[in-house]
Amino acid sequence: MAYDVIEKIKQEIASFEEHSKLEDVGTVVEAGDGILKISGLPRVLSQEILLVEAGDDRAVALAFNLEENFIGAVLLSKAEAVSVGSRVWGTERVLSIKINEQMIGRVIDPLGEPLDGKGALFTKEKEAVEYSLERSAPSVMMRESVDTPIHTGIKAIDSMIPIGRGQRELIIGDRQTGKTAVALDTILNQRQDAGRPQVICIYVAIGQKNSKIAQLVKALEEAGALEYSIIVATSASAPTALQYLAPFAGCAIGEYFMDHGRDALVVYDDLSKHADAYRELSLLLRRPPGREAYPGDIFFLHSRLLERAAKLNKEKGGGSLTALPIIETKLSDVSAYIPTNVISITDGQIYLESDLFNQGIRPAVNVGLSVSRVGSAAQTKAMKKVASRLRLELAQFRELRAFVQFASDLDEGTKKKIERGRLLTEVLKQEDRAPLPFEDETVVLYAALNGYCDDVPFARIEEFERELIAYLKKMHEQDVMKAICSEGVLSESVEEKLKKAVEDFKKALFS
Amino acid sequence: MKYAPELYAQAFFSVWDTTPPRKRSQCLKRFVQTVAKYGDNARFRKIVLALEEEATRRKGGRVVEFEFARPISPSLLSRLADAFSPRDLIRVRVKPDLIAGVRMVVNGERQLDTTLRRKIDDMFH
Repeated sequence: MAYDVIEKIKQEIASFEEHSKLEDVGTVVEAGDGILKISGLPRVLSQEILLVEAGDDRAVALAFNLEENFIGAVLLSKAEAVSVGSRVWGTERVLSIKINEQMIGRVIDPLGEPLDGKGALFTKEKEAVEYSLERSAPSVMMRESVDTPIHTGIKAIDSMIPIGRGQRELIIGDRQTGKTAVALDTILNQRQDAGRPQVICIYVAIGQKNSKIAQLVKALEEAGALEYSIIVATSASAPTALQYLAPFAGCAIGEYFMDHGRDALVVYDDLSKHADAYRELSLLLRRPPGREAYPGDIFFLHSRLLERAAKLNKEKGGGSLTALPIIETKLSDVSAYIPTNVISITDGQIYLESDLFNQGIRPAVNVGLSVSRVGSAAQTKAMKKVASRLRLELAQFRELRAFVQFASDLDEGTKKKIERGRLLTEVLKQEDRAPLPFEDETVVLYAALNGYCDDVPFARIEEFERELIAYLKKMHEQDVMKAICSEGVLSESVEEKLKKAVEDFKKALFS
Repeated sequence: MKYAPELYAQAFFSVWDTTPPRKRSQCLKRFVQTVAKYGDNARFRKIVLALEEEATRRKGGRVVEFEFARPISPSLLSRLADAFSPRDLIRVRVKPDLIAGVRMVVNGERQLDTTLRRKIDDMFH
């Protein structure tokens, strides 16, 4: 055995061909905090991958700042052995990630390395396509209007703040208000959104606790959602450069599916931490700080990322990339720098409020401040028909809510509006990780908005919903539920049947 | 370290070139004071090396660094120096981890590596 090994090594040495040639090199002149200052390498590209001598190994770095005399680079791997005087080589490759279908169901880092311990990502490396992390957004001519809904399974959102495939909808709120829960429900709901092509979901965790990432992976796995999901994870202990790159890696993966005519959804959780990571890198690279010490191009950072979400036209395959960025506010201050930036970039926002959350209204969506600028064009006709009055009635309720404590002194009309508002608020409550299929949402809202819940005590609203859905699925699966699901329209005949079915349900089971 | 040695060198020569010869000793003194003011005395050796390199480049020469695994004889050093222009700055370093052979770097940008260390690295990477 030993003889065979020695013979093999001897053959390797004998067949080794030497290729000494002049090559471009650089030298590390400063190293610290994951940042390198490099002299030399005059032909380096922006965002080029650099190899840095690190003892017996080579560390990977990314050319970030191209200055007159130096290159500012960020280390992408932990490399304690890198020191002043270490040699640096260019690779003439900009940062990219290898992608193919086999990536689905995996947890990876922003460089495409698996983190889930399930072995190599690809059985055939050659079949994977390299996608650059930085890419121009699709041009105007390559796009078309958003016309297909992406259902979140959350009644309050699908009815009043509908999201379309290719849209960028911001989820914004303080800590512990259920931002991730909304995104997670949206991913879970893609499994039961029948009648439309399966959406590939990419969840990008930026600087999060490993325990939170593990919980999320487990939740997706248990719900069977990992079959169509990819998780790009960078924990809080990951190098800052990786936290900065994570959303771009997630976006590149989404673009792969969009370019192949599929629908993809990317959740960036969250861009506040991403902005912080970029601020850290920029300050270490001695870029001039601006407002709140963020660098001057912080708006461009997020706009170029979110602009890559698109609905491509038929000539380009008709794929779409929907973006759900998350922003964490401090003390509900939506007028801070990063929140206002991202609000202005996106096509609407879902605003989650701590007060509502503490009152037990979950999801804690503030309907007044939440908006979807393009989603109504994609909203299913059945939902549009059912929920058209919902926003108005809730708006009237909000106006009158201040008078609730004087309820006894109010006139009958005002009292009725307040009662109705409270009822609708109750109907819109929903547990997390329990997204409803679109047809279930439609029938529940139909019943609520047409007064069939008016005499139901608040404590029994949830039971009413559950029993109604179960009844309709049992007794009217084909003529009502499937009809709404397949056609997406609440036709007069179906509405008539639904009306009768709800009346029968109330008489028989909920009187 | 407020500024890189290369920046000190560039700043020094841009002042030096415009200073009349009679005031050059004063210029030199002020440069040393500036380095001390920024707390870079400990890195003065590096700054001097950067000054040497900058002076060579300004004369149109090249900075050529040779790295050997073992110390070389004076005769080999002079033969090496003869192969280059008198304007070039030749530096020799000993790096035992190269195992054998020589590595040459011109102006810190172009490298010719014929060391055994590189060959072994190429074979196993």
